[in-house]
Amino acid sequence: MADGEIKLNSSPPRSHRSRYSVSLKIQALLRSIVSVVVGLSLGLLVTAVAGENPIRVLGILAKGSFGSVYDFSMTLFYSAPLVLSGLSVAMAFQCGLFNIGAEGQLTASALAAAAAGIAWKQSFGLNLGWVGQSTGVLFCLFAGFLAGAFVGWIPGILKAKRQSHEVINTIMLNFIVTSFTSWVALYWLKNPDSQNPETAEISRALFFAPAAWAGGAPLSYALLLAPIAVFVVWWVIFRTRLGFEIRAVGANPDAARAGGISVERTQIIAMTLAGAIAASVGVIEVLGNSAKFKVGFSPGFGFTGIAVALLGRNHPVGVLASGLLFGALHKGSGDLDFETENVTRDLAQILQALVILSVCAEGLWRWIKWKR
Amino acid sequence: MTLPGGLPGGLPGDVSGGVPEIEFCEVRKVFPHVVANDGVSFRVNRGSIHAIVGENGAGKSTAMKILYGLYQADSGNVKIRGKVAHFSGPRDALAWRIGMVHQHFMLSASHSALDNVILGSEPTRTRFLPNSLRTIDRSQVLRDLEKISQEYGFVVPWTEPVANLSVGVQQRIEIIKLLVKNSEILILDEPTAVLTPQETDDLFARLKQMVKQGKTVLVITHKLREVIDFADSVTVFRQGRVVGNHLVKEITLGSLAEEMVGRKVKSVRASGPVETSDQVARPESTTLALEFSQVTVLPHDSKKALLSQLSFRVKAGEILGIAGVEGNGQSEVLTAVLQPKTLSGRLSGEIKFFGEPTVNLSALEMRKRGLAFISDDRHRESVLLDHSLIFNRLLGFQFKEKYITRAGNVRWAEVSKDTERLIEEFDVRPREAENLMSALSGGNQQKFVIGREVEFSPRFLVAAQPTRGVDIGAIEAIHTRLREVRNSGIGILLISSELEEILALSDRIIVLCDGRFMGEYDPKAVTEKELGLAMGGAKNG
Repeated sequence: MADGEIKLNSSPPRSHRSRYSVSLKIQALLRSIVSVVVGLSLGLLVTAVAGENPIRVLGILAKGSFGSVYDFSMTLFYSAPLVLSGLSVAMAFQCGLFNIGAEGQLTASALAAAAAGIAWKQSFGLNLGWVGQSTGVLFCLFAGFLAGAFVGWIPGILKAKRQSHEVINTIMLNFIVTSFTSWVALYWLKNPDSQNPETAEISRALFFAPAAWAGGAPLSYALLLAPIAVFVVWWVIFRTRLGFEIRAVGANPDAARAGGISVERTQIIAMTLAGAIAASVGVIEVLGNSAKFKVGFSPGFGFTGIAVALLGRNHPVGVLASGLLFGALHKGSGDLDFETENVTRDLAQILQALVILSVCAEGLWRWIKWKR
Repeated sequence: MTLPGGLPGGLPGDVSGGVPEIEFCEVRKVFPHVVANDGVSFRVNRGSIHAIVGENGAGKSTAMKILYGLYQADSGNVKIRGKVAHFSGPRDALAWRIGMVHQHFMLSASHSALDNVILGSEPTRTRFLPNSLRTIDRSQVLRDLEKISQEYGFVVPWTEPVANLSVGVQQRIEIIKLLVKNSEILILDEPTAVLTPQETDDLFARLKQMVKQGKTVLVITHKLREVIDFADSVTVFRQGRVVGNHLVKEITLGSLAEEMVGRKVKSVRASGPVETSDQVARPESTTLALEFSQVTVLPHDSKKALLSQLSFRVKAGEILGIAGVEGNGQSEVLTAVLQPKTLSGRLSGEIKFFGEPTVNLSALEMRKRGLAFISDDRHRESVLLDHSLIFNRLLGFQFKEKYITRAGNVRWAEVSKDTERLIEEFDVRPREAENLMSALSGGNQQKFVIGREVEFSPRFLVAAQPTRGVDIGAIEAIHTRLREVRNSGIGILLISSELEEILALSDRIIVLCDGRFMGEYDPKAVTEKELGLAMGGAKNG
């Protein structure tokens, strides 16, 4: 915001009262876009070094991610978990907390949702009415959210009561949750018909099958949870008293405390909410994709979520945009393996890394300007 | 009494033949917005304890940091043993044998006392190895240290981790660190701020011993009693300038206090008489707003009480000023009033807010009862610099039904409208509610904070250093506003280390020193000298 401040000192005419805040928002948006463009350009330059035509690579990426209904559906399919885990990290960031534990939270919730679905199947069988179906879905959702929220609540309460750092605790909880869920999946809920490390299937009646219009992509209506979560998080953070308190604590805990906000309570709530948001990744995995808990189902969604939140500047809409970008890169780069000679799908990771680097380099840019 | 140009030579213990050990010549240091030192000149003779006194912000720390090499003077120079010294950092100061004990000790808590002393210059054996692989020769150092300890009478358990040692012992370690490095000039920044009276006596006894052996000691302090009791000579700072150089045997506590506080202080107080008449016009209120009875606050660790048996009352419609040098219990008074809950277990005695005991109430509950607060640390406690004025307007009022719907949503339109009105009414510039708080000057931020705190007609206002870091134009506006608030029947607890401010605003004054009540004064009858004495720890009467 440094560049905005200087101009602000002159007294503006009253008729333009919101001009400045709008221009600040536009500046932030422009900076994000510039970062993305710079990062992507650098990445494409790398392909030139590898002997490919960068424009052609870009074309393949675009076609691979948006070229057809199927491609676009796949992009959405990859994006949804990234958006959700990005929201989880962003929620904690708004409160000044760093949630590295989204991975553990979403793993726990997937297991809980699967367990709930299996229990539902065993209790009520497969032939459910519409009431039974929707209650069952709600039951799975509830179990998943509860598990994720619980795993988020632990570092929250440790932070508030014992001042132990949430980064350490969330990282350690990731290991605990991963090991615990594997154990439960392999010894308690093992799928007797499968050689794979996974649980039995949940009731098919609770499963959201891929949408017919998705062109064969595994895109189900369960993924609607992502846009719903974007809206809810936006509403909570910017419209409610709770969001105000979360942001105040994130900006300055001492001032928040002096203003009568319980910093400890707010931190616990923010971490619990972050856990619940991350939980939706686990829920859509079980209800909308595999119908069971597979050990190691997440290719690091929780960690990529950190990058997504960073690029999206912890704003829910920004997170939506950056999650879609990451999803598109992931999907598009799959085609590079067979469409080009020298570039593989790993380019997606290089591009993501460079985008993040150029977002971070913005601080460097500000520092250079300040030095001069 | 004042000796222009410094002290004459030939003081007791002076073995330097007239050449001062340290000489400041017309030193000037300017920071953006503030002249920290201007025309600072004084001399210190070898083999003496020299005190540097002055109120907060008088420029004494800046001068010492120049001597220690942390800052460079803009003009003028510093002579050490007759030679002009140029420092570009503490390392150069070390070469001139100058060492400093900072107010906050620079010790590694998990290392032993011994390791802290040798840190950075570890003596090593096995010299055939590269430096970083050599083993440390602790036994040799230990022998040296025992010698120094005996010489000056310092007892230190050398193998104990510093974390387990008391503050007094930690200070000894800091001093020994300097002695080991053969420092000839020792600068001590507020060395007794953290010590018990016994430890203070002990410290000065050791310092006297060092001085006898030819060391020179500079003590930065605001405790005038100590200056009179222990120092040989003293330099008084006020508003960045040296206003007096004295031999301690030629002055009294009273004259020192007067000089430190300053005689020419009538300017702000001159606005007093107008207010006096208006005070008479006000009906005497009988509502008791805030009452402290025998309040004692203990710290987490040591036994020395931060506040001891403090009792006072503030009525609705009056300003009670608490005078005192900073760090003498003011912050504990603030916490006790604002967030009694955080002191639970450490607070004894009783605090009543409009007759109701506040024990274990949280900051929110106090605010709901109509307590407003202007913090002495604006950026830390009052504002969120990275958020808009509108956002800041809501801070501290996020429980008001006016701003929050029943479902828990913020009525931002309402907050925004009130922000517009506030910046208009309290003349906050620029008049732009969507600005970030960081875009405002300190004075405008403070006007905003005061406006926010008083606009909802609180029942009581706590104002801590309300004009700190505020430009002169805004000070008067803020003072006027506080008087208006008082006149509207709201009680105000004013905490300030600025005597002028206390005298200009208060209806009654109490003085705190070392967490203890030093007496109550009538601002119309008391002299600044009397207050200064009480603030320095001299008993009333």
